[in-house]
Amino acid sequence: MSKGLVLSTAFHGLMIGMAWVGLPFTARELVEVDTPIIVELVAIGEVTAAPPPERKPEPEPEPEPEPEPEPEPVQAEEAPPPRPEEPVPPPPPEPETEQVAALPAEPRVSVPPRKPKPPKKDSFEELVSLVKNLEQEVSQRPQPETPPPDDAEPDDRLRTMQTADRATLSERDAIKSHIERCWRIDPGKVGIQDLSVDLRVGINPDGSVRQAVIEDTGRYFSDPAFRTFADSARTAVLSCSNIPISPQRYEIFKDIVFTFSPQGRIN
Amino acid sequence: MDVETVGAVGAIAAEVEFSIWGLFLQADIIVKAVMIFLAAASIWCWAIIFDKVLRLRSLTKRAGHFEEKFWSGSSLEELYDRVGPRPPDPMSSIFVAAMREWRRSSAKNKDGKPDNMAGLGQRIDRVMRISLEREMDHLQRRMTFLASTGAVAPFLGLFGTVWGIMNTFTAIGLSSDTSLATVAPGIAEALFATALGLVAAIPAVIAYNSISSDMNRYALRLENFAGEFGAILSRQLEDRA
Repeated sequence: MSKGLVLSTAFHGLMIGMAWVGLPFTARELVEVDTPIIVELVAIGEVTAAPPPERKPEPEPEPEPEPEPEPEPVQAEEAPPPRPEEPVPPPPPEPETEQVAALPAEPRVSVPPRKPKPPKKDSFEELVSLVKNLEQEVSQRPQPETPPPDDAEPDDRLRTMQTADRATLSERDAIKSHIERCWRIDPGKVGIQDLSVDLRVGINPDGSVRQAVIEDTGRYFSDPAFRTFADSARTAVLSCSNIPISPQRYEIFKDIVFTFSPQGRIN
Repeated sequence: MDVETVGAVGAIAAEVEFSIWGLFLQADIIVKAVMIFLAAASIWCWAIIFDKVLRLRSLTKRAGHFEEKFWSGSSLEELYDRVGPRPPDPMSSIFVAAMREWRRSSAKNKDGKPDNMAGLGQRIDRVMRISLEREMDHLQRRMTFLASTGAVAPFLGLFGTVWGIMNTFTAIGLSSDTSLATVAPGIAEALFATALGLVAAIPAVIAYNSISSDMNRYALRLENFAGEFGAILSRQLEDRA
């Protein structure tokens, strides 16, 4: 009997050893589960990088028709930053670089007259004038803006639709830069560099803004400085129209939360 | 973000171990007891299987040799002397038992009274049958353990599984989280008990069937031998008379 017992123990040891070595089948399944996640994320990264250069022409043609001095510095500040972020601008840059090089020269002339102005006015008067300016600007803006998308965009849009049918950061970037142009901040205000407001923006399919809701309502009612700041941002968003939103991706972008802050503008 | 996701997946994978040892360690105390019992039963079953198979093989081989010698034509007395008083296998022990009875009675009545002859034949038959039964009883010892393991082990494993799944559902109720990640480890651990039960039961049933049929065949061979040997002895008795 002892011989049988020894044999049996050896047999079980062998079986357990085989199971120990051969059981990583389950572990392999786990590995397979997380590989597709990685692939998805990589796809988003590529798409994010690609489209922005094609969309850039939109903001740049505008400064020329508009004679106002104020919006231009805003664009001069905003136009250079996106450039280094995007790693793939090889084909388009050649025509654009000339414009970019030309652009900073213009705003530099217009900056000095603008900065001294704000301290002279009262903050409330200034706000009123800001709102008026906004209204003027908004009434002027749509006409020059609509034609270029019709002329230039169809190709680009088709291309982006082919590269990605998912939500892309570049489209968000386009909406962001569009709303940024509607918004002018008062740089002279006390503590304005510390303020930031979250707005939930609802967009209609035709590109107009359906609603803009301030998220932090508690601070809105308690802090007057924040209230004026948030109101200016809200007015800017509400006054925007023709937001570049493609109908195919309307479901993804119909409801976005933007963070308005003077330092990084809109994030 | 991708780093976070990969990290989370890695954390889940590290948290739940699906190796045999990990499944065993995560189990409830009762499920653990069931698993240990089933593992021990499996080891004991295989010990019995190895023992019986090896024994039967050697016994049939020895029976073959013995029958060869027995039918070779040499005298029974010579064969009895060669086998000796401690026979190594059932067939020779039957032969030795019968021959011992034969010698004893023939030594007692050298004059050869005829009225004792029929009694001697009956006694030899009885001695051979008793020896055969004793040998078969010895051979079939522990076979009941195989049979009962084959019948009971699946139920025992099922009991472990049901208990483990009960615990899992209690855990789900407490954490109120029904995601597969909370359910899966408990069920995997519970199903491991059933797997062990089946692992113990399937070889036990197969081995029990094949070994007991082999033993029946061997017992039939012994009976035939005893019958033939009894016939030979009774013919010699008649010749002597």
